Amino acid sequence: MWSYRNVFLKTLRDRGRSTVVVTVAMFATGLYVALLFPEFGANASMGQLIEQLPDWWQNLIGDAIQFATPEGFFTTQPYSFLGAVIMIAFSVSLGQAAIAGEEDAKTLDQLVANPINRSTVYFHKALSIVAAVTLPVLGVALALIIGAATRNYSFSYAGLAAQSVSLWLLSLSVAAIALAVGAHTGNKGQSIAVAATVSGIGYMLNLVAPLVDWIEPTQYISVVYYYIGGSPFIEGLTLWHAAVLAMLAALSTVAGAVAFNRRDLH
Amino acid sequence: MKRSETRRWPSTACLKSQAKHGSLILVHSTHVIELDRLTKRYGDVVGIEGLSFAVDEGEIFGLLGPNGTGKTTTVRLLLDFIRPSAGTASVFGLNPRADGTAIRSRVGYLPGDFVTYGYMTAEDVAHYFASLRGTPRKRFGEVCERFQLDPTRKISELSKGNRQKVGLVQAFMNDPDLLILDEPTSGLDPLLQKEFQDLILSERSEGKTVLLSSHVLSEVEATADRVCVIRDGTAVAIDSVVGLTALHSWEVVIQFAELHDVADYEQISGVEVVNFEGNRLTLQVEGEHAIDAVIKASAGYEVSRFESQRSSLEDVVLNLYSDEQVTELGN
Repeated sequence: MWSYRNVFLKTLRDRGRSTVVVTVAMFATGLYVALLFPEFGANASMGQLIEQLPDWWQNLIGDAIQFATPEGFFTTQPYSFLGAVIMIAFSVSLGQAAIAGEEDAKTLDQLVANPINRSTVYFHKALSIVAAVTLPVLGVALALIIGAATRNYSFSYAGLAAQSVSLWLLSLSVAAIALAVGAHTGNKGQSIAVAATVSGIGYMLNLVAPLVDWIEPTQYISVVYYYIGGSPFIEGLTLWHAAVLAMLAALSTVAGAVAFNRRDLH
Repeated sequence: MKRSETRRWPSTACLKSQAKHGSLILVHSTHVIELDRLTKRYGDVVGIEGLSFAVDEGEIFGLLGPNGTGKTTTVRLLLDFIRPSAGTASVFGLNPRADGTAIRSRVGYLPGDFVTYGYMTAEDVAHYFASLRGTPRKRFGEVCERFQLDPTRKISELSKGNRQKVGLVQAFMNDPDLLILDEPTSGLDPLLQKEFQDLILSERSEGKTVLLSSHVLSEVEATADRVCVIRDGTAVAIDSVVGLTALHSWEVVIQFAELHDVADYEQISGVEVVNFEGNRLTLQVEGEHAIDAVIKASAGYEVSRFESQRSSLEDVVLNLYSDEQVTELGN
């Protein structure tokens, strides 16, 4: 029973089924997109069709120029839309379940009744989140490589790595917010609400801000902007964007640990 | 070790001090558990207020009171699940906040509302908690057998009583020095309740300490050496079970061949006439002097039957709660 040796492995085992499901979903999405690229992305009539769409719609799914290259096509799908939404939802789920979920299930008392301090419990949980979000990120990347090889075209692996790092950091940031709020309040609902709101508003701001001048500055408060705003698949990783996401994840995690250590358990 | 003796537990601070300075231990705690004016408030709501008591090694100490009077709050403060608003608590001479890990390594705990991971078996739970403790679960098999628990079944498939057995097994399995048990027999059948009582009595005989929080008064009366009765978060009585019941009354029933008047009894200090019917007199008698006076007053009559019964712990506690919450305690 290797999975019951410590809190990290136990939590990873608890989230094992959902992690596998999300990894398979991300892999399937990536494979589907990669296999379809020659028909969609390289298709001139598809490009003309996209040019006729409204700006906000092109901003959501990508413009005709993006569609013409694998890097641009993959930026829009899966990374800007379905993949990002799946990973945000999965990250919120992981973050809220770690402390608030265990507290809500009334198993946290039993856990911390053992000679293990709260910080250890917390950081084991945080580490399990890191491991859990890594698998789907790798899964989708692997699917794109396999899909492209199957259809006999190539793309930038450096771009894929940059995009994967960016998605991984976004996932960690969102999960860390949910984890921290859950650790601070012990309330699953609040944890989900805060993390989902930050992500949802971030997503909308990133979508709308480029189209409306007076909203444009607000994209800098969007986590999604720091994830995809620099088009890492095409342009490479924007270091300060990555740094913002990494700092957000780290600070949220530490703030959650401090709050968890200080408060009464429910 | 005899009950009258107390072991001195060195605090972690002392051990650190000793290690640092190479000196003798300077500070000791003489009790396994010690509460000094411990207070916990939740905003305007009082959990416990100024609670003070001490539990010695090898003692079964009962915390009594209806639901919501502060028993669980007290237990959770000792394990550092919640933090005090005022006052102090120590376990093995250590501070629960600063030395919680050291304390919990020697404590077996059963929460009042025991819930654990439904998809796991008792075997899995034991394995997991033993791994976290870093100690072997040397009594796991013995306690499972004692409570007739099949450790291979999923916990979600178990009845309430069987889930409670899992809680008991995980509390006892590491052979802890201190057992903190909150409503331990909840859901257990009478035979297993008796088994539980036998188990904690045998633990006591081996020098283990038990803090038993319960509102099952008969269980506490059968096992506890001393009790603290909590009411509205404050201790209203702390004494041995014998002392607590001796302080209170006896019920005396006297059957006379013929008795016309109870005035002789009504005049005795500490005696209350509860019922007089058909030459059968029922008295509530408080204090040994009053018993003596009742016997002397009865000497002038022909008595066919004389019965006296000391108040049970239940009578005492119900009396302490006489103006409120009696119904809840009544079981």
